[in-house]
Amino acid sequence: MSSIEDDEVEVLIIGAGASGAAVAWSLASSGIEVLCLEQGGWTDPKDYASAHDDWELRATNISNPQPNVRNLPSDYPVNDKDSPIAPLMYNAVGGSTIFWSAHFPRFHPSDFKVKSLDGVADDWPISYRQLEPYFDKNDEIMGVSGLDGDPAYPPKSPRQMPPFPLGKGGQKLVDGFNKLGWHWWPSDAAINNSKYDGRAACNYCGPCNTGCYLGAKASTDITYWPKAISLGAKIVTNARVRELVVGKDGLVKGALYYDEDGNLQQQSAKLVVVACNGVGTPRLLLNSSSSMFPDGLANSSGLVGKNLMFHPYAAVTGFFDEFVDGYMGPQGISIISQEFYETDLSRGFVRGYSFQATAKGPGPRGAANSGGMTAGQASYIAWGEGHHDAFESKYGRTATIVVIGEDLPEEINTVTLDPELTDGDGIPAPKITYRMSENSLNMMDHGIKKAEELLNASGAIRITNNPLLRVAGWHLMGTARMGSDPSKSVVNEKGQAHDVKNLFIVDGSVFVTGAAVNPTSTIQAVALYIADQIKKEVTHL
Amino acid sequence: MYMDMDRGELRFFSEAQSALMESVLNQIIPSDDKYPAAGNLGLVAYIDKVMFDPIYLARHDKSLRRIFIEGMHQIEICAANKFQGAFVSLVSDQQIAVLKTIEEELPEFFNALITYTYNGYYTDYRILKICGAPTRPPQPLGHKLPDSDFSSTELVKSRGTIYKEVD
Ligand SMILES: Cc1cc2nc3c(=O)[nH]c(=O)nc-3n(C[C@H](O)[C@H](O)[C@H](O)COP(=O)(O)OP(=O)(O)OC[C@H]3O[C@@H](n4cnc5c(N)ncnc54)[C@H](O)[C@@H]3O)c2cc1C
Ligand code: SF4
Repeated sequence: MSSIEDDEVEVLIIGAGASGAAVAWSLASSGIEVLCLEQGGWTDPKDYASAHDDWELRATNISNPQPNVRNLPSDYPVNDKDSPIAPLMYNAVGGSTIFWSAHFPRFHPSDFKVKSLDGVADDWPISYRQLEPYFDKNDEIMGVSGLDGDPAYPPKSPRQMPPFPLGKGGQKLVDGFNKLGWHWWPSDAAINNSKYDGRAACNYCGPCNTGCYLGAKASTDITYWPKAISLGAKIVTNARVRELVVGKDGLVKGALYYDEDGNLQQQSAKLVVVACNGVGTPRLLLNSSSSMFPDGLANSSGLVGKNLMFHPYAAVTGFFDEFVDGYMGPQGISIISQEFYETDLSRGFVRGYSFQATAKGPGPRGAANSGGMTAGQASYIAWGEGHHDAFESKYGRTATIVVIGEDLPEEINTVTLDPELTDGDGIPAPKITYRMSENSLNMMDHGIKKAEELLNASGAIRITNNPLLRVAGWHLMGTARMGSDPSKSVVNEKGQAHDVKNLFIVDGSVFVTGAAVNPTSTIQAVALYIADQIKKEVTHL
Repeated sequence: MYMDMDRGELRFFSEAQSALMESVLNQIIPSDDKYPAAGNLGLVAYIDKVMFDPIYLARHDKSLRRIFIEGMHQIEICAANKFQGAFVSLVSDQQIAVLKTIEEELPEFFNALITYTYNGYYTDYRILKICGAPTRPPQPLGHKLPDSDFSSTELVKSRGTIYKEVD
C-alpha cells in the first residue's frame, strides 16, 4: 500500500457512470468537494465503431456490450453461467451510458407502490411525486427528445426536443397499434434531435450501442461530467477500487484502489458514495468485509447482492414484403406501448410489461447471421442454394417488438463473489445466479402473443420470436435495496446505508422494484434526490 | 481490407487448404445471377486474416485456428470416405453432401465457418452495393429520415389516461 498520506476529501464517489456523474454534479454545484474513482478512462469518439469500415464486426468483439467478450483492461469478468440473461455494461467515464440506447422512459407513480396496489414485493419508501423535480432536472441536463402529452403518465415537464421520426417500419407499427386501439407513443430519448446544450444533433446513423461518434446521445461523460468538473469535481481514471475501509467508529474512512500501474493506493473521505451499478456495487460491498462487517459492508440484513432484477426481454420480429428503413435512426428508439402495463389478473400474471417497438433491423451482416432477427437470435440464414433469396426476403424488411417485463424481486436471484474468478487486479469477480419466475414466464408468453397480434395488424407477412434474449442484461437493479426497516433493506429512504451512516448508494442497486421500463431516467432522478439528502448529511459529519 | 490481399500473403491457410476453403466457401454462398460466390470473391483471405487479428476475432475465439484445422481435416476425411476423392475434385452435389455431414457432426466448426463467411461477405462493399446497403460506415455522414406525422397520437389521447394515480 502507498505510504503517502493522502488528502481526505469531503465526498468520494466510486464509479463515474450514469448515477455517479449526476451525484458529482449535484454535490459540486453546492460547493462540496468531490473526488470520483473510476476503473475505466475517458473514451474517444473517434474510436467508436460507427466511423470505421468494419463497424459491424467491431460490434461483435471490442465494441461488444458484454464485458466478457470485450475483455478490455478496464473490464472485470462476470460469471454468468448460472443465468439465462447475461449482464451488459461499459466501464469508463460515462459508465454504461457510453453504449446505451438512451431510451428514457420514467417509472410511473404506480411502480413505486406495487405492494399497496397488487400485494407483491414492497412499496418504495419514496414516491414519484417526491422524485418529480429530479426527473425534470435530469431531463434538462441529459436533453430529451419526445412528444408531450403521453396518457400513460401524469403530465411531464415539456420535452426539450421533438420526437424522432418513425421510419417506414415504425409507421407500419403505428398503423397496427391504431387499428387495435392500443396505446403507443413516440419514445422519450436522451438523444439530441436538434442541437442542444452545445452538443450536435443526431444524424440517424444507427448503431448507438457502440458509442455515439457525434455526441448527440447523452452519455454522462459529455453531459454531467463537463459541468461537474467545471464546478471543481475531480475524477481519477483507471482507478479500480478493491474495497472500502472502515474505522473503529464503524464509519467508512475511504477506499483502497489499484492505479493504472497496478499499485495499491488509498483515498480517504468524510463520506463515500457507491455508484458501481447493480452488479459492481454489491461486488464491492461484499469484498469490503472486515471484523466489524464479516458478511460484507452494510450487509447486516444479508440482502447485499440479493433481489437482482434485470427485466426479461422477449423479441418478436415481423417480416414485411418491402424495405422498411431498417438500419436508419437511433437503434433503440421509436415507439413505446404501455397497453399492458398495469395488473390485470385475468391475464395470468401480476404487474405487466411494455412494448418497445424499435422498427430497427440489423445490418446485412447481422441479418445474415441472425436470420433477420434483432438481438441474440442464433439461427443463420440457410447456406447453399436459395441463400440469396432467403437473404433478400429478410434484410431490411423487419420490425421488432421487444417485450420488457417487470421482474419482481426474489432473494434467490443474486450477485455473489465468485470463489475463483478474478479481474486483472486479482479482485474477486461477481457471479450471477438468476432464474425466471413463473410470473415472468407467463408475462413473456402473453407479451409475445400480443406482439404477434400487433405485427399481424401491421401487415407482417411472417413472424418469429425469441422468447428470452440472453444478451439483454442491460438493466441491473435491486441488489442493495432501499427501505425503512434495516432488517429488510440495505439503505434507508435517503440512500444511506442503515449500518454505516457516511455510506450512500445511488445506482440501480437501491431499487425496491424494477417496473417495466428502462431504468436510467429513474436511476438518475433517484441519484439526484439522494445527492440532496447527502447535502444535509455532510454538514453533520 | 482483405480485398487488397493476394494469395501470397496468406498466413494461416496452406496452398492446399486455401484451395479447399475456396471450394467450400463457393458452396456456402454460391453465385446466382446477381451475387458472386463467396470463394470467388476472395473470402479465404478474409478468414485467414480473422485468424490473427484481434479486432476481427472475438476475444473468446482463441481456439478458432484449432477448430478450423480440425474442420478442414474432417472435410477431407469425409470426402474420401463418402466419395473416394479430394473435396475439390468432387462434383457439386457430392460437395454439398459432405458439407451437410460436417454441419451435423461438427457443429462448432460449421457455426464458425458460417459466421466468418457471412461476416466477411456481408461487410464487403461489393456485396453491400448489390444488396442496396450503404457502402460506407454509418459515420460521419449518417442517414436521412423524413419527418413523421404524429397526428394520430390524438386518437391515443382521446381514449383518456391509462396510468394509476397513487399518492
Ligand atoms: C448496451 C446497453 C444499452 C442500454 N440501453 C439503455 C436504454 O436504452 N435505456 C436505459 O434506461 N438504460 C439502458 N442501459 C442501461 C444503462 O446504461 C444503465 O442503467 C446505467 O448506465 C446505470 O448507471 P449506473 O450509474 O448505475 O452504472 P454504470 O453507468 O454502469 O456505471 C458504473 C461505473 O462504475 C465503475 N465501477 C464499477 N466498479 C468499480 C470499481 N470497483 N472501482 C472503480 N470503478 C468501478 C464502472 O467502470 C462504471 O463506469 C443500457 C445499457 C447497455 C450496456
Ligand atoms: S443514431 Fe444518432 S444518437 Fe445513435 S449513434 Fe448515431 S448519431 Fe448518435
